[in-house]
Amino acid sequence: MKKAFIVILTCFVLASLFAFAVSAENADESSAVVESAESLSEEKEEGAVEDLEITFNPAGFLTHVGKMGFGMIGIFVVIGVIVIITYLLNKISSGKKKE
Amino acid sequence: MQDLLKLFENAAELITVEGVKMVIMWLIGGALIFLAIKKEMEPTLLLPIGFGAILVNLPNSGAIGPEGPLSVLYNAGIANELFPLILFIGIGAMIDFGPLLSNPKLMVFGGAAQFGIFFTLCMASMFFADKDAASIAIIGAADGPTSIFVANVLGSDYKGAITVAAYSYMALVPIIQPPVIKLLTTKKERMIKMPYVQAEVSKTTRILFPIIITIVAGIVAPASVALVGFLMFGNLIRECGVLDSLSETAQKVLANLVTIFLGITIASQMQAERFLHPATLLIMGLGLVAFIFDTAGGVLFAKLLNLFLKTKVNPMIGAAGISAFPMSGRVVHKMALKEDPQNFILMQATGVNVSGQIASVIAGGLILNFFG
Repeated sequence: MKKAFIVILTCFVLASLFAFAVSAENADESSAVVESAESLSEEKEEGAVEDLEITFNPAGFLTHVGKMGFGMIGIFVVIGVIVIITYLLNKISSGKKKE
Repeated sequence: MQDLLKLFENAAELITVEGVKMVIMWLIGGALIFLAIKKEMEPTLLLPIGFGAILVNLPNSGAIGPEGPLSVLYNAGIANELFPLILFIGIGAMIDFGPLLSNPKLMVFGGAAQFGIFFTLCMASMFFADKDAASIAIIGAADGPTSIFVANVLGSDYKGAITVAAYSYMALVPIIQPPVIKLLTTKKERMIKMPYVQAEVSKTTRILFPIIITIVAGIVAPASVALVGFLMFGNLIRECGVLDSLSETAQKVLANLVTIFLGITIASQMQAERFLHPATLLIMGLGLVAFIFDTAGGVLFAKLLNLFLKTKVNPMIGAAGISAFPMSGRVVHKMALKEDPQNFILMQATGVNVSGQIASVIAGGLILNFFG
C-alpha cells in the first residue's frame, strides 16, 4: 500500500510539473481567449441571463495550474511565517514567566 | 371588478413558463427549510435562504425591486460586502485558538486542506469565465462569509448558487468527508494515536496572535485585510479579557442578527430565471469537487509528512483542516474513536480545524489578489 502510494504521488508530482510547464507556454494564448470571452460578457447588460451561458474549454484547466501551484505555495509560506512567529511568541512569553 | 381581476392577474402569471419556474423555486425553498428544520442542517442559514427564495419568486414580488426591502438590504450589506465582514467579527469572537497556539505546527494541515479551492479553480475554468471560476472555487473555503465576500468583490453572476452550495456542503461535511478519508487511508493509519500534551498558552500570546496574523496576512495579500482583520478583531475582543460584554454581544447578538439579514438577503439572488439554469447544477457539482479535494489534500499531505516523521501523525487530522468549524474536527475525532475507542485526537483535530479557518481566509485573499 505504501509503495503504491509513493508511485501515485510521484506520478502526480510529475504530471503537475508537466502541466505547469505546458501551462506556462500556453498561458498567453489561453488568457487571450478568456479575456475576449470576458470582454464580450461585459458588453452585455449586467445581470442579463445571457451572461449565464457556459462553454466547455478543456484548455482552461491548464490556464490556471500555475495559479494552483503559486496559490498553495503562497498559503504554505504565510502559514510557515505564522508558525514561526507563534513559536517565538510562545518562547518569549514562557521565558518571561520563568523570570 | 377591476380590483378582482388584478387578483387573478398575478395568479394567472403562474400558468406561464416563468410561473412554473417560480413554483419550482418554491419547492427548492421548501426543501431548504425542510433540511434546516427536520435534518438540522445549518438551520441558521438554510432556513432564511429557503424562505427568502420563496419571497423573491412570487409574481411581481414587493420584496425585490427598486424599493423592495430585500433589494435595499442587499445594497446595504451584501453588494458592499458589509454583512459577511460583520459576521466574521462574531465568528472570530467564538474561536478559541488555544489548541492551535499550544501546537502551532498543526497549522500546515490547515494550509494543505485548501488544495480543493485551487483544484476547483482549474476545473471551473473549463466552463466559466475567470471571475466566476474563482468565485466557484472559493466554495472550497468551506466558509460562507468568505464565499459571499469573494463572489461579491469579483462580481460573479452566480452569488445565489455559490452561497447555497457553500452552506449546504458545510452542513454535509459528516457525509462527504468519511468516504474520502476511508478511501485514502488504511485502518492501521486511522488507528495511529497522537498523545496530547497540554501546553499552557500565555495571555500575551493570545492577545498578540490576532494582531500579528492580521499584519502578516495583510502584507502578503492586501485584498484579505478586511476578511482576516475582522476575524482577528473579533478574536482580540474575546482574548483581551477587558471586553467581556462586547465579546458576548459579538458571539451571540451580533452574529445572530447579521445571520438573519444575511440569509434572507442572499436569497434575493435566487430568482428563478437566474437560479434555474444548468450552471447551477454545475456549480453544485464543482462545490462537491472542492470539498472532496480539500479533504484529499489534507489527508494526502499528512501521509506525505509521515514518510519523513519519526512520530507519525494520524492522517485523518489533515481532513480536519477544512474550514467547517467545528464539524470537521468532530467528524475526524468520531472516526478515530470508531477505529479505536481509546484514540482521542479531538484536541489535535480542533487545532487543525481552527487553522483551516485562518488558511481559508488567506486563500480567499490570494484568489482576490490573482483575479481582483
